[in-house]
Amino acid sequence: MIRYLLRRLSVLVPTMIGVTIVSFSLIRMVPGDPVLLLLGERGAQPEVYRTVQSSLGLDQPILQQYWVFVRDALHGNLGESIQSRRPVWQEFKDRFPATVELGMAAMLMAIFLGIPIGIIAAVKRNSVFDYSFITLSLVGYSMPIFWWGLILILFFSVLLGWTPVAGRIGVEFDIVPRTGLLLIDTFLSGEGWPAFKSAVSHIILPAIALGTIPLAVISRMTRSSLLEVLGEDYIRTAQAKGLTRARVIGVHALRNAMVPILTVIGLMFGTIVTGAILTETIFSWPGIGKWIVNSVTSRDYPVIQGGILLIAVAVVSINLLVDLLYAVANPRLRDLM
Amino acid sequence: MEQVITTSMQPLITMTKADPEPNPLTEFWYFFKKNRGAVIGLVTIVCFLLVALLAPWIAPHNPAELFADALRLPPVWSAAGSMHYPLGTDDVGRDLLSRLIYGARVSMGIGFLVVFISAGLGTILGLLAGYYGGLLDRVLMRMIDVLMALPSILLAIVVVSILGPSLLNAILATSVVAIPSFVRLVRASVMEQKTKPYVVASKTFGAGPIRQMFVNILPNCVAPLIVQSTLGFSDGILNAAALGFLGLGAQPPTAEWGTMLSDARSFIESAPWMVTLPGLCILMVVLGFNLLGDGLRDALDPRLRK
Repeated sequence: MIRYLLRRLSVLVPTMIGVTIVSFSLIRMVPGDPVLLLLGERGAQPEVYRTVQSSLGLDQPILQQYWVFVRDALHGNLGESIQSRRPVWQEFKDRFPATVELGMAAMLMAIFLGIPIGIIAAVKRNSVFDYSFITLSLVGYSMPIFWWGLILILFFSVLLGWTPVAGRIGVEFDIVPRTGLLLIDTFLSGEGWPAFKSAVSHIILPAIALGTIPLAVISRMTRSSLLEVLGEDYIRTAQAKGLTRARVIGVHALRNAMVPILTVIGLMFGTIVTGAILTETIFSWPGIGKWIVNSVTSRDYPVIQGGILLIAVAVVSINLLVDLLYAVANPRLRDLM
Repeated sequence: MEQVITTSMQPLITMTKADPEPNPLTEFWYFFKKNRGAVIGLVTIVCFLLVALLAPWIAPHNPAELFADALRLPPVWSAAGSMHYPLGTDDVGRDLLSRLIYGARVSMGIGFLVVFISAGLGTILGLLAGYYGGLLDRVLMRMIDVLMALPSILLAIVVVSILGPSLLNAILATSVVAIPSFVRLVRASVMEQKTKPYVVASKTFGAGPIRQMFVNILPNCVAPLIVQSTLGFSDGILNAAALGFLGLGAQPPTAEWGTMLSDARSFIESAPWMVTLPGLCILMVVLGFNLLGDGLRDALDPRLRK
């Protein structure tokens, strides 16, 4: 297990170097002078120009610059936002929990709805349920979620008036962030039930929008994986032993069908990050997705640069974690990887 | 010519002239048309393709023309609608149907360019990596790993933030995002084919690397490439529309579906048709290409034919 972990980490090193190079080159690849870009189009006095240039280290040789960039990044120093004048790392830290909360809500919905739905479709193969499932999951899989989010708003917020349109919680609540996850913080604070209800009503539509594609993918994979396993000899043996249908499917079949389902769940985290960028923009959800999009529109290059690096680190770490869990769950696979 | 194999007693097997080898296309079509979803997908795409090609002749109005007397007019089926603007008008009085028709042109063009660029580059890189292996392969694959470590839209955002937001840059960004899957696919098939006897035989006859890669090996990787290209269309259209929606792709007044959606957001209460219709077009096209891709995969892969 340790050896597997080390091997997995050693593959990560070139990837992370590559990501830092992408992030480092970004500001230097933008057409035009990065110093003028930071100072604005007005132009600057020569001495101001030189101060900024040397404060950014842009008068150093390029390798030196890269080294300084990596060293600073490892110390959590990613420069400061042009817009807010706050450190990029601070800005990221404030917003990250919101994205984690949304992503987790979407993922939990996709897993806890997707697996049972897939099981039912597989068990009732070729039934009306199965056919409608196949059609709906294909539609879900092809869904442009930036449109789907708007349709959900149109139906549930505009027409029915059930849910709010934007934000994380009603303005009347002032929650002190402890974990950063509002669904938990509302309980830790004195506000209690009404605040929790407000937080739930805010998160439900974005979570549905974000969870739709993972839901379609996970349930499709559950169905096909389970169907494949149900044709195996040991299932026939289990049935022949007179085990109940529930036990055959729930224990014997599902446990063996779980491997591809887990794989696909792991792959969905990347989809969640991509989707979060769109979902947060639609629902004005104050997470890192909306932050990075805003920084591109306002050409806040330190934020883009640092944000890309931090998001890539987050994605790579999640993938590593998923792979490790995967190896813990399947000892058979450790040697293959 | 009939040949009879006989035993002492009676003919056991009669070998007539073998049926002619079925034409691969006929055979493909036989399996393809059995898949209802794939046929629906094909029909959808052909319809959108025709709309895109015939846009100037079938659009009732110029997509950029402003009708000041018809701002946010609802579609014809609602009471206030008018036959003159069948799907209503947008916030500045442009005919929505005409814009959607021209949008098909933009989206199909995006899909085509993205697949052309990403499949082209991806195939060449995949061939090189798979055929030569060694250091070249390792360096290329590490670069692909970096591209894959960044989620697709984020990578596109990096490209757009360097080049600036425009339709062309969105196409480039989307193409870059799509390259890794082509490289991996072609590389894997090349590594599988490389050791086959026909490649080795060809080498002993003195075939050079270019001939080996493009003439001998590539045609045998075409089936998965076709499937991936079809799926590449849907991903490309979807990602470019998403960039348009974020304001990082096609800029207004271009009649691009994602950009139209982003404009329509502020009118979701007063003019919901401006939101529903462009998204429906994106969904139908993407669904069409996904259905077609799945159908092609089933029809082209002999192992899945049953």
